[in-house]
Amino acid sequence: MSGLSVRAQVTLAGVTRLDLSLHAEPGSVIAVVGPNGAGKSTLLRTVAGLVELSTGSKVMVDGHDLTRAAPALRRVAYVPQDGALFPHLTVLDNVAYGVRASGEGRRAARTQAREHLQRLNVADLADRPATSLSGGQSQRVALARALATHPKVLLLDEPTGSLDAVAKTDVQSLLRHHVRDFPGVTLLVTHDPSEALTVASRVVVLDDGSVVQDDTPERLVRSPGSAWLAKMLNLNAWPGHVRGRGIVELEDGGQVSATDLPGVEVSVLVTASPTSLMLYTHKPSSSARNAWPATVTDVHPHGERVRVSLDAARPGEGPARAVAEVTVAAISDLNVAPGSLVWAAVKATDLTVSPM
Amino acid sequence: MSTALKRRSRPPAALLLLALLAGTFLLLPLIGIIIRAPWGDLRRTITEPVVQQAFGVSLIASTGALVACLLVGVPLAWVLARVDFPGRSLVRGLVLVPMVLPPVVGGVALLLAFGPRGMLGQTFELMGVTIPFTTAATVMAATFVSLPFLVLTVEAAFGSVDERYEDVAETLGGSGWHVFRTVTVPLCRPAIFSGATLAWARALGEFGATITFAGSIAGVTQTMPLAVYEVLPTRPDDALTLSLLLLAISATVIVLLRSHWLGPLRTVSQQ
Repeated sequence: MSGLSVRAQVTLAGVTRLDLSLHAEPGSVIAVVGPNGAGKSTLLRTVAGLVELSTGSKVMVDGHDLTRAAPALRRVAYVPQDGALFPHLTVLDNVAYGVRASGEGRRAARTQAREHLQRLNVADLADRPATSLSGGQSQRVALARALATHPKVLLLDEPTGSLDAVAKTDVQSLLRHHVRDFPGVTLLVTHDPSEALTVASRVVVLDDGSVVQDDTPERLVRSPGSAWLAKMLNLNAWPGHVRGRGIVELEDGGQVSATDLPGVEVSVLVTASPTSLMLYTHKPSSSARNAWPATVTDVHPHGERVRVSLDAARPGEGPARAVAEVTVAAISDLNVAPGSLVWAAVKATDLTVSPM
Repeated sequence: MSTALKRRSRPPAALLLLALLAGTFLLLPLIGIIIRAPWGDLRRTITEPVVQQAFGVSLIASTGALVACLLVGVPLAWVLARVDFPGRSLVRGLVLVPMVLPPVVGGVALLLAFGPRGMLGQTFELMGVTIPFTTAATVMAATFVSLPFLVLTVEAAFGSVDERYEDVAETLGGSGWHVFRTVTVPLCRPAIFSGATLAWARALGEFGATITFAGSIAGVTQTMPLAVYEVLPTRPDDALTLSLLLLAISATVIVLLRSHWLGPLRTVSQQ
């Protein structure tokens, strides 16, 4: 079977850190997301051969069993957070390191390294000490160093985690272009939803060491399987139970009307995009089935729009907490500020209900 | 280093006075050597056989000890820092004992191990090899007392290397030995330099273990410190010349260590 197959069981000090199975086709880019401590980095280190596996674990790449193989023999390239360029070497010798380790002479290794730097548009940095680079440049060089060994699997641990906004955009576009051309399997650990959704062809959600969701980005956005994921995707997420007659009773004490409900008493997660929430100064007479009075707790800009955090003013009416995203014009029309009282509304058809 | 604004304050007079006392106490004897050294006669005393022989033996003993420390001390430091085995913390402590042990006791211990009736000495004897009271014994005595300095310094550096560098090097195809040579050692180079310098300086000043285990035979085992002690009553000028030499070497080493090798060490640990 070509591609990457992982059946991993990792126990550390008696606690299970990872217990999952995963298969990835060659050429696929898989984003690995999940809360802190979910096992994302452990998964990468498992594939790289850097952690001790429990019996029953198996790591296969292109049909070869690598479970007991040394990291050096796996052809799995690992790029830790912030790149981890060797501080005692120049940029060129960093990229040449893997080529040298494979037995090439110094001159040949440097020639190949230069080609890889060129491919990632950082050839001009070749003679600089690795410690003199910016965060974005370090990521580019780290990626060049990884790709220079022609790996079968590429492991990226939060490549944009420590970058500022400009460098982040730059590295993300780099990932889109070069990682998508990469013929092997890419596992990309990220905390950034836009990165997961735009770079990856598949998103694996980890929690507590196991896979809780494994979907295409499109399907993931349409029905996030956990409150954590919905929050990560900047959605309103309200867990609850179906009460029947189109009503979902929320765990926070409120209730909402929704369509397409599963059977009564089923545990569900109700999600709503902040842009689907509307704000009014008075009780709306519109067709929106869900309307509730709320106190504004926070107002902050989000791109060209404004995000308004809301607490239900009367317990039991509407969700206890919600976020609405409205235009700047709407904010001044409504005269919204922290502390002011508004009416929030959302159509039943704008709510997504997924069984949990 | 720090770019903080200088704090305006008047140091307490009592502290200044005591600090001055300590400084004077340390520097005055050294100045004494410099003032009383036979400057006019230096050209003659420095060519005296006892001085030249002692210088030669010291060079062999301290350099031999340095090579031995690097050869086995760096691997020992690595094992203590990285390999988990039962009783590791005990071994860690025991390795440092020669640092605090009176050197004379170290010499006695070496005699018991490698002397004619010693544990390993008997085996050596059967092979026709005698160690005590030879130049090799001065190297061994110097190595015994200086090895802990190197191990202590280098072990700390091995323990604090960011292991991600080694992880990455391994996934890039480097074998364990290759990664050690091309990543771990270069990252710890400042610590290995300063550990080696400390060990070498300690070996140079070694006295107690050497005189016990190797004796003080001119031209064979009599190092500079031993020669100073032996000729001081009868030929003070030669003793002072040797002292001046030792002082000059120590001062050079300390200045180099502080400006050149401790500098990079500090910046590395700050990264």
